[in-house]
Amino acid sequence: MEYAIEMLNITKTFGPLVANDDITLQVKKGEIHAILGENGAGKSTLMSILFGLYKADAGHIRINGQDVEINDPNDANDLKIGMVHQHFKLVEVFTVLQNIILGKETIKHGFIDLDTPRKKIKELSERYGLVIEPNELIKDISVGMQQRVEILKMLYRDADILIFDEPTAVLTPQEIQGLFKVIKDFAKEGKSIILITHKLNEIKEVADRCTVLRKGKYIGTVEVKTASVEELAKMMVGREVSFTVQKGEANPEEVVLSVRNLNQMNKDRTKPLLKDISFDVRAGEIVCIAGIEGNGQTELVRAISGLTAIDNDESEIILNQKNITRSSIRNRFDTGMSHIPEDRQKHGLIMDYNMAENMVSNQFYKPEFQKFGMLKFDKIYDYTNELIEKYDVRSSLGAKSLARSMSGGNQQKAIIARETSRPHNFLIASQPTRGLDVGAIEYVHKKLVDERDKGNAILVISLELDEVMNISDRILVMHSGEIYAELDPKETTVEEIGLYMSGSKRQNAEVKHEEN
Amino acid sequence: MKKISAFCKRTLTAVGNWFKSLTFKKIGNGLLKAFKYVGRKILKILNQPVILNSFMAILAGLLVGFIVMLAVSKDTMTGQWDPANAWAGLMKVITGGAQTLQSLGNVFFKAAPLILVGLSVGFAFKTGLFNIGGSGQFMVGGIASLYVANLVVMPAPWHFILAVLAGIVAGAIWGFIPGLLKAFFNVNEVITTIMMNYIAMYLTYMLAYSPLVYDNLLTSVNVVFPTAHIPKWGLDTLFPRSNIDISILIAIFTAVVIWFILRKTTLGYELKAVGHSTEGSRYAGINYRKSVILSMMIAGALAGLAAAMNYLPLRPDYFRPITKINAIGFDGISIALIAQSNPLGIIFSGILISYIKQGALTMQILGFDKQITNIVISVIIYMIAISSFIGTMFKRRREKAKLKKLLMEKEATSDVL
Repeated sequence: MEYAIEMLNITKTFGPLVANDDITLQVKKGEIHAILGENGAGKSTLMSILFGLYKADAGHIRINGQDVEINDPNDANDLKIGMVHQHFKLVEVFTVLQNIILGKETIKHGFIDLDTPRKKIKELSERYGLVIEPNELIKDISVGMQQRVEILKMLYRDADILIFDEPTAVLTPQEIQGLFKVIKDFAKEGKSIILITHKLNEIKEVADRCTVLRKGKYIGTVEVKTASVEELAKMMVGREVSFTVQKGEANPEEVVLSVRNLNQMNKDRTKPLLKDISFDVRAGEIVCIAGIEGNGQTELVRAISGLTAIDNDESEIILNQKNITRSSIRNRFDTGMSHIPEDRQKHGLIMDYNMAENMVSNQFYKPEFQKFGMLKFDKIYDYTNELIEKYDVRSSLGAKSLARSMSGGNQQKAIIARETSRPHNFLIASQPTRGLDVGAIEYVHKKLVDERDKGNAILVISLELDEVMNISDRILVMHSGEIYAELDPKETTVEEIGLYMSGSKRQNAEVKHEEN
Repeated sequence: MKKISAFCKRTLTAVGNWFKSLTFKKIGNGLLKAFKYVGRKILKILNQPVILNSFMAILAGLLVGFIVMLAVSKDTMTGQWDPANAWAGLMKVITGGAQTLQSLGNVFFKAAPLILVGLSVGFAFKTGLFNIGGSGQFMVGGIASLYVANLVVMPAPWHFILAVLAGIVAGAIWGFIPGLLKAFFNVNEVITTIMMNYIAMYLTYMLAYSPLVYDNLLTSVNVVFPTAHIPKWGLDTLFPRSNIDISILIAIFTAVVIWFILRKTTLGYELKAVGHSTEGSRYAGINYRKSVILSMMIAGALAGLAAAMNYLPLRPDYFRPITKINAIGFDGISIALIAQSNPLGIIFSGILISYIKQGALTMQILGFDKQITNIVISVIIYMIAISSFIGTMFKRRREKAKLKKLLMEKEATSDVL
């Protein structure tokens, strides 16, 4: 059997941390090979070794049956290995064409020749249906097109081995379908594809075989056709995982939060970030805001939580019958808001404070925790220990461990513990499962549903459509700072949401008003 | 360390037993417990690597100072190179401050403003701000205190208190301006405090020349204002013929208050939170602007208090109209650094710097320049910077080893997870 790529017994350590421990990866010619693993499983390290960014401590690499040394990305290029990084490596102020040829320019009479590459790129883009605008600047084109530019960059360099690192994270369902079609075409032509992902259903859809890594170790390689999603998940996590969130019917009651005509401009006041946003969240329901990253969700959360001031006169945010549009953040907390922020290290925790200090960071001024301006440390530590036990937050020194020293999952658990334990009836959770592994995601979802069943109003912002479909009782879809649709998760499909997310469909504005 | 600990235990028990042998058994028991508690606390503090680091750094500083002295030391009579003289000079630096009760008293006397300026820098640092403006705050605080001392007529304790308050308020105003600029316009406080130093220098230069307060014979601001001098409370009988007054007690008390604020109060919690993470504290509903301004004002007020302690004594520093920035703000940075900004540590580092300075004065008899102390102090600071760096290196290594062990253990037991 001929393999296009063989990475044999690769070991790579960073100090005491073993990122790759005796990993073997064999990719056949013309196959789509997925690499599956949680965060920190060693996927990126392995690919960085293949791409020449790191050097392996042990093991060797064979390309098309020949032993090779890959010392830097240029070697990888020469071996016709190309990679689309999760975060694109494009020059924002260059045109599409300039970006594609960058580093492999054709020179004519000492000047850069753009016509020859333009022809070649046109040919390539027509052949694979990769629509691009060669003369647009990168900063002006959509994320989907940026990805196509990255793919064309590889093709322009005649790459035969294509690596895709989490390619679907930034795409709508429709764009994902388009991408998968292109990937399948590549495979048919005999190119070898490596697809790095942690999304199981995508693997099921496109991949031929799948190599699973867990905590830097090689777990196994399976034929995707014969393995079920549950089996793959078990291999990835090491235990049984439940994918569906167990929850009963929602009984929405009175309106807790209502947002009316929320408008927000960007800093230079040239572009609206939020346009006439109006919606309600009721007690006992989970409302999810779906959308592609950068369509105003972050700004919406910042406006509701008070992190950015609202300077528009028509905008109104009412929480528990109190107008909080211009209230301070502390005031909002006292009115019944709880907030699980998007960036847990920047906002959620004060990294140099210990657990106990963090557990009271937005309620230390309350009489339970202070008297005459002096903190009651016994009470604070008792309270923290209680939360640690109840929410199973693990850390080396318990209440005394610095937030900085805790793992991401436990940091998130600590924040959830704090936010769901303080007095509140409205919880805003911004990407609560971002960067967490499957087990922790299960935990967070369960907590959110528990919150709902206690009769609290929940607003969740999520970029993951699976999550939106799973936990929400009502879905709002945002596109370019506006709400494009309000949907019932039981009656809609991922594809339909995708159309609204990309802005290609929009619910009738008048209908929306009636619903309100 | 073990020996010392055993020794301490023995003596403390002995003292406690002695009290027990008195008829008041209960009191004896209580005292025994108290002594044991205090002893344990002291040992715990002494055992901290931070303290050990500081001691090593001080030794290194003295060693480098000694090497410099070796190079320049000469016989005072003949002018010949005389290495033996360097040893005598070093001994003067080490013992000079404690030779007599008088010099010891003066060490404490001079330490008070140093401690307070150190607190000013250290407090700002703990709340995430670099107060380079200690000098400027000190100068305006000083001139404000002197104006009140010279121009206001009031009975004794009240006049003194008012003069001190004037210094505090002036210093606080000088801290308020950079705080305001930082909070609302995000102007870096390092730059603004340095600029405020220059403004303070010229402002106080003009104010000191004013005929209202200027004394032509002294060529400085008048220093005779009987009702506004710092009281002595009989400390001068403890340290005869020295200049000591209650300023050292005020400085120590202030350090304890600052420690208490930072450690135990909601105010300290807020200010430190803002220092650690502006975004994180904003999210938690802490008013970032208020905190920054308040921090800078407290820092300025401390420097202003230092100035009052410096210019109000019976035999004070003279406030002369010169266009030179008072270097005490930079001494304050050194003092805060040596103590790693711990308010209680600053008491000791302030006294240490004062002690070395006093020693340097006696060293001049042997023909050494007193500026050698500046070399000693700088080396101490460098050493402390390096030692904390080396300390973290060791710590990291230990943590790595621990992690490795943990990984191996996990490997052994990992079927689940």
